[in-house]
Amino acid sequence: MRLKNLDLIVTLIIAVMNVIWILLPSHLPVIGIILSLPLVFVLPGYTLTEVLFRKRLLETSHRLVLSIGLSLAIDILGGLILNLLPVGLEGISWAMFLGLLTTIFSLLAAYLRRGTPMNGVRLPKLRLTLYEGILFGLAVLVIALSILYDATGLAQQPHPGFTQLWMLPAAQPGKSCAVQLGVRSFESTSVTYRITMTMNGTPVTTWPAVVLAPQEEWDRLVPILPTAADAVSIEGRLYRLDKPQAVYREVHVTLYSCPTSKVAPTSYPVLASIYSGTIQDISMNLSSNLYLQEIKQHEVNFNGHFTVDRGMQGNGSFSGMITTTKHIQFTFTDTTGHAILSFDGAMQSDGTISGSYCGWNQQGRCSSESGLWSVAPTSS
Amino acid sequence: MQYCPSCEAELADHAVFCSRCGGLLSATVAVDEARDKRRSLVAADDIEQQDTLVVRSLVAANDIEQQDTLVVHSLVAAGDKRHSPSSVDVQPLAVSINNSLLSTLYHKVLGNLPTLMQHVFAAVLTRAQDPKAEELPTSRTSHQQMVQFRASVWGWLPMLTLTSAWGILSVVYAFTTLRYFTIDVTIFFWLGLLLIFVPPMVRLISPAASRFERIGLLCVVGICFYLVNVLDTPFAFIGHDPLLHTRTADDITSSGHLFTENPLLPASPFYPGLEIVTNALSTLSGLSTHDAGIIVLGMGRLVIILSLFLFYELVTKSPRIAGIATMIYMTNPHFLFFDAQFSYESLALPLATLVLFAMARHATVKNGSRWMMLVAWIILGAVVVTPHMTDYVLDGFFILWTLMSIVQHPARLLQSDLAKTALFGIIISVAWVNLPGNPVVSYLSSYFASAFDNLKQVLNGASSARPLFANYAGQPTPLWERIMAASSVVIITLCLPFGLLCLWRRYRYHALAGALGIASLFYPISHAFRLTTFGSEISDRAAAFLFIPLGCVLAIFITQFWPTRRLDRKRTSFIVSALSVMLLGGVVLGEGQPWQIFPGPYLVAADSRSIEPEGINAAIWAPSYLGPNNRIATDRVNGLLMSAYGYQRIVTALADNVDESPVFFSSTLGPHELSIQQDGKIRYLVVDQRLSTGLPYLGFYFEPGEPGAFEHTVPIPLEALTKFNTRPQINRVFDSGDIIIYDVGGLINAPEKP
Repeated sequence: MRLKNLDLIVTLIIAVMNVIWILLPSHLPVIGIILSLPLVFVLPGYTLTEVLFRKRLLETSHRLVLSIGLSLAIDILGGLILNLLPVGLEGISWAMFLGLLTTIFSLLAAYLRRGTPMNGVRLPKLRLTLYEGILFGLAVLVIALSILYDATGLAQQPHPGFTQLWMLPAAQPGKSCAVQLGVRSFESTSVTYRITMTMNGTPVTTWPAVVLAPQEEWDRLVPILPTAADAVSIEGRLYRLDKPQAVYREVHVTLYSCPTSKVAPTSYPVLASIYSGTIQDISMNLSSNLYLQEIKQHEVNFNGHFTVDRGMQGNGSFSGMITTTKHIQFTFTDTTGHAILSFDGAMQSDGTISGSYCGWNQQGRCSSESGLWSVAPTSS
Repeated sequence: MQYCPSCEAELADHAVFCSRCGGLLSATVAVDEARDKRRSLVAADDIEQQDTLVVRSLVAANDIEQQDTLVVHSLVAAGDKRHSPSSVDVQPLAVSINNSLLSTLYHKVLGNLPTLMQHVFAAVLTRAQDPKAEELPTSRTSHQQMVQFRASVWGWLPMLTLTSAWGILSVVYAFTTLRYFTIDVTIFFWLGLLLIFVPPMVRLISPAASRFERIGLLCVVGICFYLVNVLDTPFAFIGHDPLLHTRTADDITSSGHLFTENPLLPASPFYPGLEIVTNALSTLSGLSTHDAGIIVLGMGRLVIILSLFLFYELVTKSPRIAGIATMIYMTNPHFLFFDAQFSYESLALPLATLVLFAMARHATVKNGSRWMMLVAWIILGAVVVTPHMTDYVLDGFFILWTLMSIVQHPARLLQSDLAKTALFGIIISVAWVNLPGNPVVSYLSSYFASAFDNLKQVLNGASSARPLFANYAGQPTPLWERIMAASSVVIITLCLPFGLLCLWRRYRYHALAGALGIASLFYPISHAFRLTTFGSEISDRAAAFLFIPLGCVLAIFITQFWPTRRLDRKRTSFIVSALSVMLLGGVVLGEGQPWQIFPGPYLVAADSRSIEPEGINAAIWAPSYLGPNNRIATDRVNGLLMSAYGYQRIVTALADNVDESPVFFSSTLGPHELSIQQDGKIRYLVVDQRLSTGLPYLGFYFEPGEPGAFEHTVPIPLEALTKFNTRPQINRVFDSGDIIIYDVGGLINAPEKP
């Protein structure tokens, strides 16, 4: 190879590098882009133009437009050919096809160039003066800033927030019925939701305080065990705690042929009307008395009055739920209606309940404030 | 033949500048020689005696056009063998006028007109056939200026690139502000467009710019206009057509094969050129379909600018006319947005213009012309599988070009490469149309049948014409935009006859120029469809093709009627102002009302203005939880989203012969609605309750054929959209506030998957 075929040598190197690159197990996108752009848009057309016209007929602008245009045409016709092959239009097939074609054209062009002088079309001298360079640089800078400004503006474009709620029948082993319940928040800030589920109008379960940050998702698989053989209608409702009375989202599905429960419906643990105990703030090493009073329970859900004295101090209401497995969750809300603490725990066989808690910050997430709590039923 | 002292390129005898490097040749000598020729030609016994008589009367009247008159003589007598360039591979354009019958005719006509009219007609004819319209000013100062201007190859390109960049910033400012506020800053958008367009246009009209500079300026303007479209929605393709093609591209990527189903645009998978190139780039580079598509279209934009310029240059033999013509093409209503979007026509047009360039170049190449024809055929093959309409228009133009060629040289029919190319194009087009499953014939025939039927009704008075400058939601177009749009059409229509006259006087023996002239005549006709409801799109879409000949005709008109020696600031400003009106009017014509151009809050059934995060995220949710390819019935916008983002199978009248819209319009869910769902085997209904909040901006909510389409007077009642809640067999599986998804599988026993 002589120096006059430098363009063809570079072409071959790029074609080979594309094939090697696509075979590598991991890829850095920038390199992939740099390598693939000439292979897709320039090299096949350029080498074919060299084969067909060599350097004597075409001027630079003609050569440039034919290189790009022919490359596009070769890509399109190549796609039709690859479609006929079992491998189809994949990265490796593209790299092989375009690389092979470029190699063949390059070798052909080199063969046809033998014996011809090196000097073909002389390119006009494109020397930039400092002044011209500065102007071009400024133009590029203004365009780059424009793109950045546009992208930033679009990313921060305000949109009305919304929340998705869904419920779908879920396939279960042994043909038992279940529903998949999910929530995804696209609100602008963290939102606390209450989710309820009913079966044929009867409350099944409630999630009293589901806190979701923007883009955060919550989902549960809820088994359904109807007591009768008829179709069972499951309804899910989503409430925002800042607007607790209004149904925010609502879904429902009807399930058919669910296996009925052979036993009586599982009973929920019965809560006492008053509990007392302690609450300990681990971060501040502060222990206080905790009173849960006026507890009213309706199957899974309960609510009542909450008092803390000696140390932490405060009172308000709480609401939550207890599962058949004696898992308990409730949220303490202050007198202004803001959820402050979230409690999680389990009921023991002797009736005592213990667990952990965390404090909520303004974004509705657990803050650094956290600790342990334990209460026992108390006679009034 | 002469040679450029700078690059030694072979040039025609009459050349003043080097067509390759733009260098100035010995202009003074050329002018002097031209003067000598004029004298000798005036004295000659001219075959165009009638013309001469008319002109002489003007000379006697000490007309200011004296020099032009002399020029006419030189042209008339030119015959014009002496001016025929004899370069190696470039054949001359015939510029002679020796049709005595015509001369006699217009002499008789002109002779009976008043003197003033004679004067006007003579001046017009003189201008139209001026062969030295591009001759440089002869004054010493002007020459010095020219030489000074050409001191750098770059010329004004760096400075004008900067002004265009400011134009981009101005456009972006308008877009960004409108995303946040409702204040009217649209003026910055229009100002930005003018900043991109006007300074380069002024420079391109000037004779001082080098060929390299002209090409550079055209590329800058073309790419900046492309950026305007990209920066409107930089992160994703938003819009009807881009979303349709995104689905096809994603299907190719996921399956690895072509010809998958796309019910929203069944023809799209059969014309996958754009998607193939996008697939090649995305699979090789790892880029997403969107990012790869942006780059592919950018390359397409570069190709169309270059190939148009080179094509026009081959026709007119003038880089200056070619530059002006290319800029005129950029004023076409679809150039800024429609032909820059991710749609098959956006890549097909560049390839089609490249075919035209290749065949035009083929006609001028003596050695190696068969290879140039091979190039044209390869690209033509790619055009056939890229978009159907561009292919058919290209075939039609080749037939016209061939006919023009045959009329001039009947004996060459069998040897004509042009005829072979036209035949090749037709054969592969027909073969592709007959590909099993290709629905394009029924797709196009039903559309054009509706359009022509609609036009017939309007012309007969059986149907009222579509109201211009108003949308179906009742918002009128701002007055100044109406004026711009109407003015652009008026300017083009008024200039067209003069452009054709210039073409006739200077290029009528050039088959390609003749074909371009005839093709441009379709422009006024195409506007008739604007009065129709179904065919209004034809006018806009036709513009992308018709502006190719129009650009040439109007550029010749400009250069003939405002020759370089008479150009001054006043005249240049006049020309640029008219072209700016064409640009702004074209944008208004192509995009319609401001809501179609600018970002802003949600609007009902308004394509890109109806696409927002809630709809997109509902579509993204669907494949994750429902799986792909469920048969879904929904409105136009959510159908697009569910197809492109949700990979669902949308039930449409086009693909399924089922109009599902009555299911949504009806206040009850009766047997008729159930039978529609059963016919369409619909599994899910996606209901957007916002449809009840307003009239559709596009004129319809679901499909153009829906009951009451383009005639809705009240929005769909909310009760009609919420009636599905009460049927126990229908599951309400998804709720995001405005968008509800119902599972109707239990109601109609639809299959799980198609």
